[in-house]
Amino acid sequence: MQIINHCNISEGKISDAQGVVFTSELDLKPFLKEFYRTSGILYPKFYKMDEQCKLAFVATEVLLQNFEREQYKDEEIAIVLGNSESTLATDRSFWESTSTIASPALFVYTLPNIMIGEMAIRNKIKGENFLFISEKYDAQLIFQQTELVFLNSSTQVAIVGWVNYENEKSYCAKLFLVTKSSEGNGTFSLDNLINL
Amino acid sequence: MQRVNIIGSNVISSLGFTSEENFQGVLNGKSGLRFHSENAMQPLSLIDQFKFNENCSAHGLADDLSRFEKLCILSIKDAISQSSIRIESADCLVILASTKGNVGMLETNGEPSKSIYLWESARKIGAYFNAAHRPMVVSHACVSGVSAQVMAVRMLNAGHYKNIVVCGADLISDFVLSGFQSFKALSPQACKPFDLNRNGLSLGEGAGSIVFSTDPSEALFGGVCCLAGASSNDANHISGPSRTGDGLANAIFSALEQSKVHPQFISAHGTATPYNDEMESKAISLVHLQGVPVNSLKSFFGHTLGAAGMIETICTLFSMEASMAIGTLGFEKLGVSEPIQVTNQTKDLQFDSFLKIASGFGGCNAAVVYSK
Repeated sequence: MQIINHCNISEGKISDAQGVVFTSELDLKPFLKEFYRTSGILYPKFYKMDEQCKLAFVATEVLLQNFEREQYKDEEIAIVLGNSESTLATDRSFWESTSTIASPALFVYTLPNIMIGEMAIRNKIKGENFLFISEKYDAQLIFQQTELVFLNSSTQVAIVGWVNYENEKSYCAKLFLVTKSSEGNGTFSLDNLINL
Repeated sequence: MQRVNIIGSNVISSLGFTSEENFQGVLNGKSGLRFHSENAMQPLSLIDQFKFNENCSAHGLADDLSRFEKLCILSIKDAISQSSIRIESADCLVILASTKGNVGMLETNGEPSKSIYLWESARKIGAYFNAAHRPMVVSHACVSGVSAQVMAVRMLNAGHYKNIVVCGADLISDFVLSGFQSFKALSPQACKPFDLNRNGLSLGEGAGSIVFSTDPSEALFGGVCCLAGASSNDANHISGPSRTGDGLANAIFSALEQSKVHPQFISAHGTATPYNDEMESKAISLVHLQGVPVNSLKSFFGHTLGAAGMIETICTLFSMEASMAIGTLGFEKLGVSEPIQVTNQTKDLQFDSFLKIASGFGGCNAAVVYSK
């Protein structure tokens, strides 16, 4: 198994395997909006998403920039994600909305796996999907569970890692594009999941 | 590859505090769905709070544990008491499956405690049992309970652990209730899975735990094993199921291919929303299982979210052992487009294997296969 690409978003900086892609001094919401506008991505659903889903969406866009998607069937692509907050920020917004009219548009974002759903819809990914909650980014858990997904399904390639939105200043996306094949840019190893 | 046996189980719901009590209730056609106040807009399946408190005191559960954490601990405690398993041992893992854990804490004034985080609840539950490892947490909408079983069977097959305790649990809170109300997803009467007149789901709360072991010496249910499972995504819509059923069909197909079993019974998700049941009938048909008897237990327990997959698997294990098919309470006339065989009343039925399926928000699906 090899890592084809990776993408990190934190502290106003988006980077991939090639280096820094985009930086901003702004809080996350305007920062991601700014990136979306300048990147040429056309996906109006982006504006409906909560911040955690937007974070997952942008990280996936950068991760898959040069990915030859058409080489794989929809069912051969898996997603394995970790997260700490679940959806606490959106939970609070939804709960506030219930004092007037409970918002179904917010309620749907009160599940952490919705970001997997958004990534899946955008990229027609129909393979295995799992979401784990841990206090901090748990590279060991993601490594072990990704290995099991490759071992137990027709998965050829997987998007794995960590997406966590706490607030406008504190957030992190750390995604890896992993292939079952031996051709990539680095070994799929615990070390690389920690250090890249 | 290690075979995965079952050496203990527990269900806590409106129908009781043990697997046996719950299964007996279901066998007797007893539904836990009740209107809990005069102006209640829909029935709910709630755990008896008086008995719950009694149980907590009997086990000396401390007040710093939340109701959710106590529920998980009571369920795990009963499940592990049926074998010689030791959670303290390094070859044992606990998996907690829940959609919303302690979200109800948001409803009280002031900042919620750290237990609002599922990982903190998991830590406290692990600490209670002196677990060697911090419990792993799966939070994947309504497939959480089935997803956790898939993870467990994979890790045990691969030899990562000898024993895994899976506990799926969720509570009814105003948060969850108002969310489903805002979606207009709730039925004003007890839900009617797969029925022509179904008009939404009913909510419930509960917990279900299974102790899995690669050691067959204490195996229950006549040596039934959890063989394999799979997950998939519809890639279609975040809050509505696929119109074709292809996503769920993919998960079922993968689970059947790995287990090499033609299941003789299906425990469906069967939430009784118009779209879910229709989608499930299509998925079942796509994998050519439309001739296999299928039921939904949602009209007994309500939809218990992260616990549903666990509770329904456990009840189906008991029904297989008793050679009984549980009828789908509330089901009268088939109301889905594919001619699936919905079990309408509880009756004798010999079966040696079954498929458990689930689907949820985010387009997620999961399937798991059990066989003698």
